[in-house]
Amino acid sequence: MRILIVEDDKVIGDGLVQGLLMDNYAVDWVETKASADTALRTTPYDLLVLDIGLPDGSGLDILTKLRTVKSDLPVLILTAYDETPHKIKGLDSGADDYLIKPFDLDELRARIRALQRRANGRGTPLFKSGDIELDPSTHSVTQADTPVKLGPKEFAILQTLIEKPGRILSKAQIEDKLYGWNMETESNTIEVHIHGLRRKLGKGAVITVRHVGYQVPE
Amino acid sequence: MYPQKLLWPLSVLLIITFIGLGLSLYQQAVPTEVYITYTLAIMLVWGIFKLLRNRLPNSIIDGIARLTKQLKGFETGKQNNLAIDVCPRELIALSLAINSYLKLESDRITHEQMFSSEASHELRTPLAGIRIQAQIAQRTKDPEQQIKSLSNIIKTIDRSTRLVQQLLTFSKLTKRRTDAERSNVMLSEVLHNVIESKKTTQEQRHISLSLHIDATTDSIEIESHGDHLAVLFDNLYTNALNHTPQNGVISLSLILVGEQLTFVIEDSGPGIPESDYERVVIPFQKSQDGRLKGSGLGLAICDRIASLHGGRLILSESSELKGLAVRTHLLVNVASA
Repeated sequence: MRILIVEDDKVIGDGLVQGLLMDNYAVDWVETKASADTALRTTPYDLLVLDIGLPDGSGLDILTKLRTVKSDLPVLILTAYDETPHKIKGLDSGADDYLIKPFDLDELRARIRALQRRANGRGTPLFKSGDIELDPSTHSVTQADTPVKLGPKEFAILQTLIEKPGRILSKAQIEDKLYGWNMETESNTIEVHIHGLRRKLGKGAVITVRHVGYQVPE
Repeated sequence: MYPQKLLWPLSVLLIITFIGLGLSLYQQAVPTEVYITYTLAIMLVWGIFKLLRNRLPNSIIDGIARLTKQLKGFETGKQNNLAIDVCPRELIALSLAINSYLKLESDRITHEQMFSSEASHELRTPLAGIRIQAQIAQRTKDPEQQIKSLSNIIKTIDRSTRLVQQLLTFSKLTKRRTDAERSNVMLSEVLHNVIESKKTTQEQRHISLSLHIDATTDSIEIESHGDHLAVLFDNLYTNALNHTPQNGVISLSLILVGEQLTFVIEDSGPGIPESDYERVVIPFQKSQDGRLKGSGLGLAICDRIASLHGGRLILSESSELKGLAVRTHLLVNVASA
């Protein structure tokens, strides 16, 4: 899952990046409206964390623009404007959630998970494929109710695939969801981690669709 | 014509009649009762006159009652304007004056609400930064990250302390001061003190200073409150230092034309776009391109101080140094010049 953070305050921006990296999300951070526009045009994101008071304009403009091009990208507004009219305006402009600064990192993480669930058309907090269950809030995976210990990248790949079982993702798409701009990837990393997943969860856990990509069974 | 204006001629007429009556009766040597009746009659007329004089016409009394009722209604916030059409002619001017005062008051309240909303936003931002960095420091297993987060917290606390100080300075400037706090201040002396206090930063960054103060402006005094002028110079000079690159130039001049003294500060920094000149002196409005960092109050404070001295702040591009030029016009008390 790849998240774009639009935040002009350096200390908060840095904190958000560090905090969300703990959840193994791929995180990109921009500080202006202009660079947010560019990032959204060039990179496929799964979620947008948006500040309103940006140095070159209002974050709401980004939101309005997104919704005019019929984008369903989940957007969480993160702002210090705490009055009700601001909240109403933000939500009515197309935001999915609204969090006021100062905020709790754990609450933000939980809200991101909730938005992610809704985006995938699910209400339950657990992801399932066959006898495999993944709980994003506790970073735990069980197979037939037995806990399985996965590495952080293995977990992230499994989460990406299990969000929508049956959907095929190419290697490049998985990489996009796993690595931000500042993270280098080696060409065979994904294969190595898929191999690791199969070793721990069984050969059938991740299916290779030749010349297309990977999926987990429904 | 008010009815009470008729009372005087009426009373005089009555008194004359009675005196005439008295004199004519006197010649016929009338009994004492007539004199008593005469005196009582005069006292009666005087009493009636007194009573009527203290009474206003009913239309005005009703008008005042309506005004009072309307004004009491404002407390409940249902209304904020006096209705002029129902008001007697004599009270229209008063109602209009009250309305314009009420308008001023409601503008002030709106202004204050906007200011508090912006101030709360400005204070919440560093608090959010401190909170998230503290949570990162708690969670991380990387000692380097922990040190980085803690130093971010300290930096942010310092930043908010400056903001709180500036908020206090700004709010003090809005209060009315007594004349007792006024005194004559020598401008060049204040300016030299400010320059001296920032000497370390200036030298460390190899910024050269060119000072233009002539014999007249060197000794000029200006009537001012406490440290207002020091705050003004300090804010403008600190801004210039922050935005001037290493080995840059800052120029400071005091120019006197008639009764108007102008303090000009120019720098060789990047300047700000012309479209932002008006905006940046409004509280919390920063430059559009994000180049002006800080609390967003510095220039607003300077503008307020300038206006307390009958002047204002004017921003432009420095023709000589190509950075920002800030002109502060101040009115000089001629007697003390």
